[in-house]
Amino acid sequence: MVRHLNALTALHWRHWDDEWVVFDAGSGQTHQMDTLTAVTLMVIEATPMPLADLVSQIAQELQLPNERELDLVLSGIVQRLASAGLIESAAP
Amino acid sequence: MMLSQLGTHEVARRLGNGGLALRTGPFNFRIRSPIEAVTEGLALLYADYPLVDENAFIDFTVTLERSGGLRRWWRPQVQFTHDGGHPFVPLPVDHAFPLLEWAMNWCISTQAHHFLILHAAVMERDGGAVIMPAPPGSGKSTLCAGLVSRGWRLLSDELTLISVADGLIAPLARPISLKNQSLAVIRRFAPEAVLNQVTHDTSKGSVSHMKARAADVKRVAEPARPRWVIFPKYMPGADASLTARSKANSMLELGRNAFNYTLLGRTGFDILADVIEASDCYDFTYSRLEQAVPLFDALAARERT
Repeated sequence: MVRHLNALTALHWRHWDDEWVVFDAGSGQTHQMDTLTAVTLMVIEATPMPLADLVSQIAQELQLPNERELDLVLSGIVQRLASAGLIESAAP
Repeated sequence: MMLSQLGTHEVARRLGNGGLALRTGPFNFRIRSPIEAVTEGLALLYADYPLVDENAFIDFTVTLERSGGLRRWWRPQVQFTHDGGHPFVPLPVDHAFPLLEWAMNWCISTQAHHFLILHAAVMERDGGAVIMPAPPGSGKSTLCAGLVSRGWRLLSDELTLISVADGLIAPLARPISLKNQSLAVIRRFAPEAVLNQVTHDTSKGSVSHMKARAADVKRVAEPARPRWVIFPKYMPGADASLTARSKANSMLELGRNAFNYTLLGRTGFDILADVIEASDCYDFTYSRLEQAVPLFDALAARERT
């Protein structure tokens, strides 16, 4: 399944060190997130992709060695972003 | 011309006829009321506020009248009217002055959307403003009154007005609402403070208002830049203590304390993020003003060096 940004969202970002806030102009909601969650959302925002590709790209960009552990963490993050209505899944 | 120059008789005459027009911060209010407690409260607490020219634009007209019918004779009530509507339920007539203050706050918080409006006290020292959002019972207004009585400039004890145009905080400099135990605390801490008659048995308990200093009212056209966001909490017996807190979480918490953050959309987000950008954020616990005020003074002093 390809993860992509919800078509109704329009994201605006601010951050202070490793704390991020994002305003979704589509829903009017503001979300607080850590750096990994913010990076995940930004990567999906830039290019829709399956979870496996997401794990590879983020592991490469953040220079994280253990992709298996990252896979678990990102699965949780993707789930939470979907619950918040920020991303959706679609068949490739 | 200041309200004090009218004399109580003329204040009452205007209130009972066309209305008394006065300026508080960026707003012109026209107040109409034949109720004596309103006259007395205004004459005492708003003595230093400028009157507004008859031809000036009036932002809000607030009318407080006795309810009609049998209520004139049996437990008389006061009703707030604005633009032909009655936003609040009627209250006992001896609650008229606190109702006036609440009505004025209601007018601003529901309509002045050229400001991002936070439910927060805000004071200034050396150009830097400290924003203090907090729920009722947190000691926000008591702390605000304590700081103001030790030289901090009062911008507002209830509504922080952040200009959408430039992100600066516009002063209101209206009287500070004090409740219950905080009345005795302030009388002890600042014996020179001027408080009006206490109204008992309101929805907030026993309420009185502390007069804003004339110097603060005079500087009402001078905005201040956000510098600190501090979440106060009164804790019996606690030593005064400032603890740094997350900026992102502070921003979300400020948003929850805003009247019109959602309404302003992206603009509200940008303004609030700018406030956080410019501010150090803290949690603050205290039990005694004697300890609390020096900590705030130290923050301001650090800023000067």
